[in-house]
Amino acid sequence: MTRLGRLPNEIILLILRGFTRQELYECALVNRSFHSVTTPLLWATITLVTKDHAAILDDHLPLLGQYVRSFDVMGSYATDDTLLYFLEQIPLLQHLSLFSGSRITDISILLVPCYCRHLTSLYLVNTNGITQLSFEAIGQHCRHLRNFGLQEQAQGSSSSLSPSLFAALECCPLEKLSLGYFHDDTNWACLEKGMADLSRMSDLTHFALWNAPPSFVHCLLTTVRWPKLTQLAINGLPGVDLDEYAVNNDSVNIDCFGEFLQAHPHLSGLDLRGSKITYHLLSIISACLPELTNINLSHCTSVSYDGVYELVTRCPCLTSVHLMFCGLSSGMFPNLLDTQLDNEFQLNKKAINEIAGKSPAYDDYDEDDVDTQIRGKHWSAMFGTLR
Amino acid sequence: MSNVRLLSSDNEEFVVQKEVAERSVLIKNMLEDVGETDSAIPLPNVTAKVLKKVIEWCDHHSSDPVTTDETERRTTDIDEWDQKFMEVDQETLFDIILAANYLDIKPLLDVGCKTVANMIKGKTAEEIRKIFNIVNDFTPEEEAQIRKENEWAEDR
Repeated sequence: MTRLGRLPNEIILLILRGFTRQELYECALVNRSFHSVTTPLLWATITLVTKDHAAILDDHLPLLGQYVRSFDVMGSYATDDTLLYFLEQIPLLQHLSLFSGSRITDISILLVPCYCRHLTSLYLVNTNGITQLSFEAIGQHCRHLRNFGLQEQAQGSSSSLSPSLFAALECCPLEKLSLGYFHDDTNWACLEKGMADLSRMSDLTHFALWNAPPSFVHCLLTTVRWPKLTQLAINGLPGVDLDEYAVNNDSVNIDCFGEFLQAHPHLSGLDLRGSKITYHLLSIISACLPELTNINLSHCTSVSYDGVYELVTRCPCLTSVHLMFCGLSSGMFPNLLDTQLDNEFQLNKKAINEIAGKSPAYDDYDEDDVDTQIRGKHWSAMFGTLR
Repeated sequence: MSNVRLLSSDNEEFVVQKEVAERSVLIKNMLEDVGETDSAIPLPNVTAKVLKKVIEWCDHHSSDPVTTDETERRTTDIDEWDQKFMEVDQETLFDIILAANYLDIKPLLDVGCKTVANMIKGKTAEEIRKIFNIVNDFTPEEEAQIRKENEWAEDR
């Protein structure tokens, strides 16, 4: 017996934590006992994009499908038939993502609840063939669904959403919800009609809203109060100012944003990329959110050094500030060394302490752990920089 | 500061400060259960040689804050002292890992696992076999099968 073989599998798993796919693959080739430990990790996440993938899956899923937890389907190769064929072989699937699955329709999605009894995440992007029928079925039968994302990104494609979308999903124990990029304003108008249903999703901890029109955002901010919300993303409001001069009717008023923040004092993550951020707004944020740890202000060209300084000195828990494409340069932070700003222009905990003159605490960069890898690599597409 | 007596599997006794011994959740719980005691705590799974190393580690880290944050503990790099501490032969390294697991000293278990991980990362299967003296027990057919199973490992 080899010396390493004395370690029980649970310890070998601790050792392999954080290994890349390539590194795990090398381990799988070492010997039989390594192979048996690494195989579940190597097959935890699978992707179906092309015919070649389908051929590999077809060969191996009958034996290895039991290990699959996350399944990403991309592009137009997969049809309803192929999707169902593979889903049938992965009984313990937890995360299903369909990206641009233009040939995926209600025919397969209606059956997802009975094929995937353990489903906890469902992300749908440009899946225009999926209608309210499917959402009703998912809402009724997916009793473990905690994460749901619905986005439309391709130009020219358009789905038609029902005002009852949120009502349909109300029975799912949703904790994380991401919506956005709907091109057709009638879709947003439909969703706005369901705002009361949305506000009843009281378990939500993460909410992300991308490219929503001002009226929707305004309605959301004035209607919804989620007691458990800790992570919020609202971005790229076209022609809208998060500004004290904004007019109530067709833009987002700073007061209603302030009241929303006040009602959610446990927010620790905020992604406001591409919004007009004034000094006043940043002081409201720092006054309302004592637990704020990370904020994304990238593409917010109106951010000033003073605003960032205000934020950094008044939020005691802050560990990360994203400032890409803000027009700020590292030269504006005189007590910072260049090396403390990474190339994405993100102030890390060390830099924040330098600016605020706080005593240094030890760094804790949160890199991807295994759970993060398994929860799907499309997390950032759905939830931006939220944690 | 009161002391605790620990008895290794080969019957060697160690007198340790309570605060140091309590880095082990197992010992901490035992002390809470029995209360003040004069008798030595038997540790039938740990030899004197390994227990000595573990006590050395606990002593050095006795004033560390207890980190409950899993992610923080996992991702923090191994500090210099721990790196030196772990420069031991493989046999001892695995013994320390097993002892940390048995005694429930999570930070030490993490340091041990990371040390082994660093020995494996970036190596080919053949190199890993050499480092740990592992015999390849696959038939050529099985090896080909695994390569096939993971055909897409490279392009992802």
